[in-house]
Amino acid sequence: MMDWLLFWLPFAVVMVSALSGLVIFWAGEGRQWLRTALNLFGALAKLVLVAVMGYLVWQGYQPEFRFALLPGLDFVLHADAMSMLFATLSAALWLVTTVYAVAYLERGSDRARFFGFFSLCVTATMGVAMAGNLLTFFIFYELLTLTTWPLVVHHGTKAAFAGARSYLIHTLGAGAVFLAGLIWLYSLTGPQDFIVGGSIAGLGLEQTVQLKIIFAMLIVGMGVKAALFPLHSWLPKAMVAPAPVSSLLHAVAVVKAGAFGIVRVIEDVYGPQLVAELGLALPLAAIASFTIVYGSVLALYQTDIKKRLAFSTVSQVSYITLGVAIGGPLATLGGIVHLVHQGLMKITLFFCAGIFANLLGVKKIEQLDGIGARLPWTSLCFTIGALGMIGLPPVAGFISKWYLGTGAVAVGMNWVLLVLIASTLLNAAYFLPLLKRIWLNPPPEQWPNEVPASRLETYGMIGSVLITAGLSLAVGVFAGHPLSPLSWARGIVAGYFP
Amino acid sequence: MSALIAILLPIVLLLAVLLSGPDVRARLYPLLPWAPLILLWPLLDQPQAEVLSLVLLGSVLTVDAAAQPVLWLTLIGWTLAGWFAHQTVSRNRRWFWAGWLGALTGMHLLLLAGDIVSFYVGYAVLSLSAYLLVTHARDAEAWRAGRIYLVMALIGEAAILIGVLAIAGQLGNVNLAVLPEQADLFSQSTARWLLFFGFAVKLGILPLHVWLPLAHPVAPVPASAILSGIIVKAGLLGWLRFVPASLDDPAWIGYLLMTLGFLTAFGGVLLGLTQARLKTLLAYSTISQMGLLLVAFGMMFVLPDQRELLIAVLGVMVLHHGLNKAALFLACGCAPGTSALRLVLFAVPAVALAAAPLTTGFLAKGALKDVIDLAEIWVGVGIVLSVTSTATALLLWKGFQLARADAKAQTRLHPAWPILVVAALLVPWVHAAQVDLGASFTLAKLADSLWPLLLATALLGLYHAAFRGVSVRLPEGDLVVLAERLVAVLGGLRTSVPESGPSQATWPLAELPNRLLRLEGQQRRLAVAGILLLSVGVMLGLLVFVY
Repeated sequence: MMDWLLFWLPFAVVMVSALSGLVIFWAGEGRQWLRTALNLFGALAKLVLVAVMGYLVWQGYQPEFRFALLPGLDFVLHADAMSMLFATLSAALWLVTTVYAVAYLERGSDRARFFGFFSLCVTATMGVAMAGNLLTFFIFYELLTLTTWPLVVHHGTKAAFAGARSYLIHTLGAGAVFLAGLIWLYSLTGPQDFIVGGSIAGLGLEQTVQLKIIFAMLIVGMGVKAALFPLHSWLPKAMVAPAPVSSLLHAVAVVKAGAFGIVRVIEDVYGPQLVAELGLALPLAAIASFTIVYGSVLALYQTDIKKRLAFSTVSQVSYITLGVAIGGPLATLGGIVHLVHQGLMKITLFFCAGIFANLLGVKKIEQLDGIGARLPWTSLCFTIGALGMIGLPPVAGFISKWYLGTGAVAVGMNWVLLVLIASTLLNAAYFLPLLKRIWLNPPPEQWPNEVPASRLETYGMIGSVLITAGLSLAVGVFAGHPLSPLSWARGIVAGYFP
Repeated sequence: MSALIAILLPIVLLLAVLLSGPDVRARLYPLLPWAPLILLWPLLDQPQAEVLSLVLLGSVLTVDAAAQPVLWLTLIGWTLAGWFAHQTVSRNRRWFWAGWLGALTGMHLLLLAGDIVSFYVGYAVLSLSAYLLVTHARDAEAWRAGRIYLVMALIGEAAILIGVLAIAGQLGNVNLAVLPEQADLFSQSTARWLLFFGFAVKLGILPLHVWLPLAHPVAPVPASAILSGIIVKAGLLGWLRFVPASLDDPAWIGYLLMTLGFLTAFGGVLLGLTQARLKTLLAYSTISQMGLLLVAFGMMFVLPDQRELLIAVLGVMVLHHGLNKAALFLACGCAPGTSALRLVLFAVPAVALAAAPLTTGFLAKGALKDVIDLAEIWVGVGIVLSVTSTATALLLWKGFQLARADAKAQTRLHPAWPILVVAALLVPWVHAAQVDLGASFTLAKLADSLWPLLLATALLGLYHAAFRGVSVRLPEGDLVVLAERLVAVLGGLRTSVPESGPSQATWPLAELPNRLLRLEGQQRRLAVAGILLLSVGVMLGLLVFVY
């Protein structure tokens, strides 16, 4: 019985949303209640299944779904501590995003199409989280690209198509490079699963030059989604998507998948020791650092709220890359825990941007004057997210920065502190003026496009954002708690640096 | 438990003020001034270590000798100023009290913090909340002061963060009590200097003082009282915690700090003498007095084994300055020129700050002088210290003239003011007795504190005789005005791209935003081309391998 459960559970976790997605497509545009019910049911079911799987992993079991695509090449869905972190984050935020999206698109069109692809997107993300080797990872990675394209292009405008085309070109190109690197790696090492500490580390390979080039190719392949400079420019253009999609892309699915992939390659394929031996850590840390500063500098010049948040994402996701590139237990901890923290904070900010745009037509920064009086709860959540981005304690962002900074000092890379400080100051420079506008400036006579919203819409959206903001604050204040993401990440890192 | 409750209470009140409706809020306002009184509990309880392992990165709360005087200062000064505020602040009350309680939360946390992270959290919350107090008036002057304050505060925070991360990188989130023992690790390190200058921003040490004369006057009177009297002392506490002296340190560090302290002490007075507003003058006086605190702090590097003694001396100085300065600021809000009584109430703290014989200033300066004598450095140091009293006396004499001119009719004499004056008279003596720092009332000591004032009188006489009518005016904030002009000339950093129209700037720096954005647009083609090129190259490579 247990074996059956351990075999099918990972598959079920991934496929629940695919099933609900297909039923939504079949149900069509008309049956709104069915669709909403399916969405919520799917999200809840997934969360429950993830919880069960998490419990099993905690108890020491190893749920694994495996079948051979080709002799020697397995399709593996595996649940270990690292995949549970990403899977839980995805599942939990998915539920919240579903509620938000239902409320946000209340007055929208083509909702069946949206939610159908939305569900398929979840499937792909779960697959990315649970992938047990690079090949499975690649399959779901490409699936993620394909299922998010219709979401980006949802509004159907010219700008939407342009943004989506840019997105597709970048990600498919990257996918090609990734595949090439993958094949090359397998030709050297044979098909390998993800193993804690690096699956190829123990093989004692001599072809260091080839390994370095493969590493570069894999990083490029994932760096597009992870928005590393200079592969990041699709991200601001994809802001044409509706807010739930932007939140999805920038907090949970696409961007984190890229970052997660980089973490997997460094920790579970190459392993931290091999990466350090090959001298790959410093160049990657340098690129990540540059991206951090570059993203923040460009965010300063944006006048559109979502674009500013997009560049902020470019900057923040590179913290994850920086953390794993620096290496050592503390910095890796900072990078991995930032996966969760950045997800929570960024999704809060994008939700708020969506509420501002949806209820009041506020899309530009100068339109934010006095919105705190009109939408106090949303503005409060925005404040929490913004303070977290700046790294002001006790919001979650400070905890990640703390570990990144102390980790850098611990391995002797003191220059990283300057990068972190520059990023903090730049973040303050482009977020604090927003907060001042929101709370302390007098509101305008009339909002750009105020629409009367139904109760579902308002409560659904504002309720969701309150949850994510509350979580952003809680995981920071109670970081010492055994159930916090920090403690979880600590457990993961302990496996790599005993 | 006591420390935790002391921190939670202002948070709860803050949330109540922010989230409640107008009726509840109106009933809440009378209670808010009395929030700092909760500090009585940990002060009596004296918890050694309240460990909250679930909070932050393992939070530890404690009351120790360095924080004790500032705790008393907060309890007395913040409450009385709050009482004053409740009855005088009528506009934008919600945001005022939000800032007030936020600052109080931060202050409680940093005073009771026993580990690095808790202290940093408290300090950050304090600095941010003070912005709300500074910008309360919401006019152009207040926005400018707030902006400059925030920029300086963030620069200070950045420096502090680097230092804190450098320490934590080696030691982890240790108890603050451990840091003085580990002082050798950080002796001569950049991190320690960064921490020193980071905290110096809050204290207003020259040349990082430029925000103080703008921010303290523009805030409402009770807010100025706590800003100048209490909040600046958070920087001192930061110094005591994070910049400990180690026995390995060369003595020149101490001498350097003392020189900087004296420069600040005299510089503050000189700049203050050029001011026309009483509140600005008092702000410069704070800068000057903080210079004296720096002199005392510098002594810690000259006498590294006398840490406890110097902490006791600093405690007396903190209480003496904090209570007296808060009283002077409250005076600004009560039209001191209206009656003789009010002038006396203004004069008493002023005279105390000038270290007249038998005042708390005499006590504080006397204690510092004793320590300097202990160190047996150059005898001139004691003389220079006495001359700072002269400088302070001159400055506060001018302040007295400005106070006499302030006779706005029908301004109430709020009871908090005289109570604070009386507290300022008594509390430092009580504290000194508690830490065994008695003042000796020998004739020599009394004479020693009298001659600077006689010198001041002589100089005043000289001024009236020879230079009457000559006055120098400097803009408030002095150096910052130069900095603002420089920024304007360089084209500055535009935070938004002009939507249309030709670019008017002639400096390349101003062109930077446009250039960067154009580069971004071309990025897509570069990156795409790059990826395609890479993939083609790889395909070819693979083909080569296979065949």
